[in-house]
Amino acid sequence: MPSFGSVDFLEFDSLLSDEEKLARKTARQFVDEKVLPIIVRHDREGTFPIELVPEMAQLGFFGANLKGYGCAEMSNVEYGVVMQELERGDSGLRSFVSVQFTHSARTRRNKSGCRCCNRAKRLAALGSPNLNLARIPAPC
Amino acid sequence: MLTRAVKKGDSYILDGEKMWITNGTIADVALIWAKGEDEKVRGFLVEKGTPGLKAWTIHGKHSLRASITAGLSMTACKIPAGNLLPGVEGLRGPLSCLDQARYGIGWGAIGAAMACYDTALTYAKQRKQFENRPIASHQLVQEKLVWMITEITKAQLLALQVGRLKDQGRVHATHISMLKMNNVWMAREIARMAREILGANGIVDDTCVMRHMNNLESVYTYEGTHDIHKLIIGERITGFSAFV
Repeated sequence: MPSFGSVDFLEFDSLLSDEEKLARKTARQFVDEKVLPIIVRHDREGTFPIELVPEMAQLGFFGANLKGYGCAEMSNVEYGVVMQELERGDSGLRSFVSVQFTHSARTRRNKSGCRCCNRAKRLAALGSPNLNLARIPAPC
Repeated sequence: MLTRAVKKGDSYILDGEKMWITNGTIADVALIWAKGEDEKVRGFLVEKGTPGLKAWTIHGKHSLRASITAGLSMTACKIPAGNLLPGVEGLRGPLSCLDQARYGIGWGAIGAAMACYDTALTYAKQRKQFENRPIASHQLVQEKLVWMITEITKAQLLALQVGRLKDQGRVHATHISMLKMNNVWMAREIARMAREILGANGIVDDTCVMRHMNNLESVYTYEGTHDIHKLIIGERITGFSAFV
């Protein structure tokens, strides 16, 4: 399958930094190579592609725009272009990353990846140091 | 909000039900927003396996099929008092989460729109009809393709400006409402238009458009419906709340 080029009528890319373009390129390649070949099967069968979670964690997609806890600490624009690419694959996949803080057991077993995500980090920001969050935002 | 949390010694007792919870049946921990005895909303962490917590998968969806959606119920669900999020009370907690999620959705919708536009454009240049000419050479098909690329371009600029404001700490919740409202709307329209250009080929899953089209039906109403975002922006610009 040929990789997705870009939809850029108004030289939008000239407004992006090199870091922002790199974040998009990483997510674009992931979607082209890992998501598009399998997503139709999952859509037909009504299953979530949980096998993609460890790699998405390794790529820093979870909690990507939050500070600390081993997250990727992307800017909000970098995070945005990643969300764009994930939803180019499937809205369900983007939902998994952007809407949820909860994680599958499989994700947490992936020790090399980041175990955090948006709401987990927001929890950490809102919570006191005494709050037991050991199960969620441990540094990776 | 009907879910209730009552303090009992060193514990909270949660009772209530939540629907349409993404990943609800595979999650190890859930963040539950519940009203306390003082009627204030607070957040509680509930771990999988806590007695009284049940989760079930919602089947039969025509949208977001590659995603797990669940219902959660809590019946006299006892959790340690330390699982309360102490730093926030009232709607500020859940609303700040929604802002974060809506921001991601505003960008994500551009991706779904791009996929549909790209598929429709490629198809229109290849598919020949009437005197063996590509349908992309027909005026009414061009009108659709031009509408799509124009809306995608506007959506990109809107998302980028909201992102820049967010990075500078100057974003307002109503900016994010405009982003979510506009971009999901345009993506939903583009998915339908792309399906139309593809004709019957648009209804099979060899192409992505109907999957995106069905997914976007959910995205259009979740995390604040299209109409609710209008009211959020309407209140900001007029000073009048029109929610009730």
